[in-house]
Amino acid sequence: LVLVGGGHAHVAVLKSFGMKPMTGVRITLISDRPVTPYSGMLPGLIAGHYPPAAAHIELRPLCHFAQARFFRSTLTGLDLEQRLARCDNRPPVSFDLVSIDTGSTPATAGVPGADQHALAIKPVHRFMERWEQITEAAADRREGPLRIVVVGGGAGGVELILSVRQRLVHKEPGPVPRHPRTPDVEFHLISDAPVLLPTHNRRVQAIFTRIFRERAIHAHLGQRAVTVEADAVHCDSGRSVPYDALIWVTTAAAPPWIAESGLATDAAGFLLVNDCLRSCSHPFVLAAGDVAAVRNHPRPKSGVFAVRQGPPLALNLRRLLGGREPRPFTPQRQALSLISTGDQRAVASRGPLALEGAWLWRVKDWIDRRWMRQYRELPEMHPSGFFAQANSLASTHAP
Amino acid sequence: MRCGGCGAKAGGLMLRRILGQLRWVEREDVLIGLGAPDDAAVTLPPPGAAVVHTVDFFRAFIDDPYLFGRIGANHCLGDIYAMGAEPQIAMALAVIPFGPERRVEQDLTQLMLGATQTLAEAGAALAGGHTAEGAELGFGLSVTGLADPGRLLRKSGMQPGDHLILTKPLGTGALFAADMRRKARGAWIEAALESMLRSNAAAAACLRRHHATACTDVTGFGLLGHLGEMLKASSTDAELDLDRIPALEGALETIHQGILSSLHPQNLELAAALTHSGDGFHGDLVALLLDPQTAGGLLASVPSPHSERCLSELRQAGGPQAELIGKVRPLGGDSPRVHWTS
Repeated sequence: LVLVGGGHAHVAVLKSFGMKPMTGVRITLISDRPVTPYSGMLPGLIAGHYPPAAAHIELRPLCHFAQARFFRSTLTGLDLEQRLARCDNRPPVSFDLVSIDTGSTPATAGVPGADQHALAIKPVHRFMERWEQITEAAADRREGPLRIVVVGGGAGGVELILSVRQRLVHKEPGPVPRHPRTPDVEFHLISDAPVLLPTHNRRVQAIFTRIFRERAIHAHLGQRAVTVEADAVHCDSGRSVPYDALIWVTTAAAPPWIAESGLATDAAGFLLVNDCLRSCSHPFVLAAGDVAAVRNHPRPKSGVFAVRQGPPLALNLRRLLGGREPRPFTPQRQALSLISTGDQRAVASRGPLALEGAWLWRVKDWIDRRWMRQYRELPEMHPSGFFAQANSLASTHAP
Repeated sequence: MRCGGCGAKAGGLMLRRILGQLRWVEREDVLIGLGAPDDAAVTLPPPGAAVVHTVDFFRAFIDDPYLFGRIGANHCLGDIYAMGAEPQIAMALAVIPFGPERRVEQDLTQLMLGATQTLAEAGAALAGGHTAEGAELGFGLSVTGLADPGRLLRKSGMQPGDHLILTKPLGTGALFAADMRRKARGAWIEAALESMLRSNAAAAACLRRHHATACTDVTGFGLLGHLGEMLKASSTDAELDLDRIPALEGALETIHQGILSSLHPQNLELAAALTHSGDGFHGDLVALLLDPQTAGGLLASVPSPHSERCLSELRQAGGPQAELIGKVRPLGGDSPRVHWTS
């Protein structure tokens, strides 16, 4: 079994195989990073409410727990005939069964200049490196306001700009004053939708519209970003928004290798899977998280759905490895969203429900920490397998 | 029951399939190698060349056979560079764990792809090898190198007043012990792997250019153990500046938690002989000096007028954590001693 990507669903698979090992199965995780960020805690990480270690899962210890091998590589493609996973920095890795959970990155490809100038929210480690530089630039700024522009008006973009503002304007976490002066940083959000958070209910939209007004964040709605230059974003309406830092949080784009491998995809190029999370074209390929598109149950690309896919993915991998039929899984239609507002408050949104308050942030924080704890505090199991005997590291040495 | 003896090795067909995937350097001084395999490899060293031999072998310390192959080969080449020689050929030995043939073949392929990559980068030809089945993955190389007999770098040339230079940071033993116990951060292991993959070739050339008087590679016995060998061979004392010992990220945190490699206790005994009571083995830093290294750096003595230039060139040549860690002192007593300053 080869797992590609250390996403939310795969950490659940690793935990499951660690708790209940399956004899005769060798697991290998291929991941381009030794740690994986938890998307639920990303706004808090950016706002400065969490230290980086609290919002990341270390994959090597989790792999050791699962008696899985950890290969630090980036997948470049799948050879479906020979069942090989091709990697950037090593010989191909062969598999009987492969599961893909590599996530997605914001779609910058369709907008000329965006690839070059915009900072994408994913991959998160690259964003966080650049983010540290932006915070330093903001602190050193002497002339004129620093202009931060976010493209994308979904929950991701809205949470991001509020978190960014929290960190830059209010150095310490805590509630935001009602009419803050923001002398040295200007905030702009560009979205092609006519409202903020277009997939949420009107009351949620109204709450965020009010918060944007209170915090002097300019929302450029109904504006599609069409080109990006080194210092300005140009919209289809003719409007130009100048920037010092540009952050891209639009809908997800699929990596090109999926279609190149010959796997069935949806219209956007994501790996098309059936209700059992198996590829519609190649039954020995499974997928979950943003990289997958469930044919019968399309859902927004969101960490919530990836987390929910973990247990059924683990179950179906086990069943397939044991020679049994996998079980179909129907994701819930609506998920409760807890959207943070950057100031350790949050808004709950589900169907027509809209609630706002500090206590909702505490609920969100509790849920997120509980989820993380599953992967950070691993029980001691009986040692066996590769590392059981491998105590001596160094060779005895003779010249 | 499985066969021992000559039966316990990878099958011929499998080996042929694996060899078919490998690429190795062709050298003119290799008369008979893997290109036209015979009972044994045959080389013809250039007239006047000194022929340098070393062998090393160890159990896997990481679960990635390809990386293990690369690092293992790099480790085995370290002795050749530490002698001031250039590697010519290598013969491989591998122990492959019992298992389904397909899995064995995959592991051996990945291992050998890693090893041959490192050998190719070093310009050395893989000239032969042998496999055996065993309880766990193991790999080693016997390496032959060529050197100018007048320019060999020995352990015995240290002169009082020379500066001691270490080309790589310490801590691989502790970090991989922590990795197994699920206590190491991924970023630490990444940095350690990067350091272990770095060849000592450029560092050795740099040390030779700057008139190094003695050199060894820091491996299983830790910095102190290998320094002790040099002091004994050179009949000198040494003074180490504890503030300047380079450590891999996370190594000191790991040692501070009490996580040490299992070879460590032996190294402590070895090193205790180097110090007088009262000098005190205190502090986590001293534990770092005893930490066994896999694919560790070179430890060399360089005449003091050359040491600063040498160090800056070492850092430019891909060893950013190279450091001047102390100096050679005249023998003070009956046997060599290490003194601390900080």
